[in-house]
Amino acid sequence: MIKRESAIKYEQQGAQGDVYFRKVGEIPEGFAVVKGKEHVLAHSETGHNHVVDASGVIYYEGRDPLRAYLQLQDVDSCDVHHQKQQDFHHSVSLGGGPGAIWEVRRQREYDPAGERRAAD
Amino acid sequence: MIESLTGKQIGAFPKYVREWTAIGLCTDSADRPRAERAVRKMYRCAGIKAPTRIVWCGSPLALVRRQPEYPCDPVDTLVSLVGMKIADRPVAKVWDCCFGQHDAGWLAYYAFMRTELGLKKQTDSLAGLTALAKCAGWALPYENTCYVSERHNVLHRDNQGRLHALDSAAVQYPDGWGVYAVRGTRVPKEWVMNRATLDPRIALTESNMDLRSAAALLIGWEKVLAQLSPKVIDSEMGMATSHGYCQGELLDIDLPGEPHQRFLRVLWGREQQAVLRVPPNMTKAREANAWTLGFEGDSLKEFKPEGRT
Repeated sequence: MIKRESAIKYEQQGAQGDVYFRKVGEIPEGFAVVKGKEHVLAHSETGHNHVVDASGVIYYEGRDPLRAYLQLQDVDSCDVHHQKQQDFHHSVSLGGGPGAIWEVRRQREYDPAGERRAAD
Repeated sequence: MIESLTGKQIGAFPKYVREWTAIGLCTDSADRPRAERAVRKMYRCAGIKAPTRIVWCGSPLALVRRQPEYPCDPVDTLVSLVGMKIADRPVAKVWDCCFGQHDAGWLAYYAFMRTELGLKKQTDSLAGLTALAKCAGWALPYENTCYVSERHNVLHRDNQGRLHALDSAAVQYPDGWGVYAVRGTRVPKEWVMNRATLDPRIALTESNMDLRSAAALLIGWEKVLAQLSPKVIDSEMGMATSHGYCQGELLDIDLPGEPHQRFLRVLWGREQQAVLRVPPNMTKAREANAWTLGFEGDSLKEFKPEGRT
């Protein structure tokens, strides 16, 4: 069982490990709703995913694997957790009230042969 | 039909977790007489004539390297008896095995159902596999011969239960075969056994991030960077709060055939370090950090992190 500490609240922008959150005004075209009980905002090859509970949150994905969006539906905020038992990233709280939109950016790395996503 | 479990039944979960975890992780030598009885029981449970020969092997690798005969596959029969689908089972020989102690993960459920829910008849067919799990490693059953492996005799894990050893195999069998792993990531044997001479560039250039992280742990970040003589271009390591945003250090490193490559040393999580490669035209740690998150050009001014956890 992972013991959760209280989440760190971001007002506008902040990171959890290799995932970055930024409050924005709208969701660009080309992003569609993804359904599920829980959304994995960033997968890790080691299973240490960054996840958000889907209740009260609408999750959008598009063709860009480095971007996604979260929209608060009927909640004031949502918490993002890191599924790792030790050396984990503190949970973060994304607020703004119903309707608020948070952009999710996944960290990338330069590769002379083409960029690739970095993952912890 | 059982619709729900009682409090007493739920309360028995930890006992099964403890017992079957211990079975799966056991490093004792196989109890060969018991195991051979278990093998015969396994065949009987599947309605198949017991094998005339039981051959012991020093590891699962030795077992799957044995000459094939006609498989009678009691596992398939047993699995179908308990109603599980196996249609997608690979043909590979390793999947013709039953995994002895390593079947503990699923046999535990049936042991619970048998004992705590009284489902005796429904689980009778697993008696052989259950008995084998408690006294030996893998088994490869054929019509007349069953090959059985010893249990692993070495098992190292980290404090999260992941396979982990920096100076030896994380799992090893009596015949010497083993698996090398760092924090749950399987690594080449040479990385561990030749750790002192492992090329530090692996920790910066290996394409798989888990392997890169494992290499860094084996070598040590300080050694990785020291051996490559990085030049610090820009440093912004300070944090205003415990959850402040550390921009990190921008490093200039000469790789073979690639002079003046730029890397960003960042702090991820609680003192967890990582080094990410960034474009060679980066001049500031903040700029490099922003680039890794897609902020570049005009959008760079929008990069205003409040913190990083």
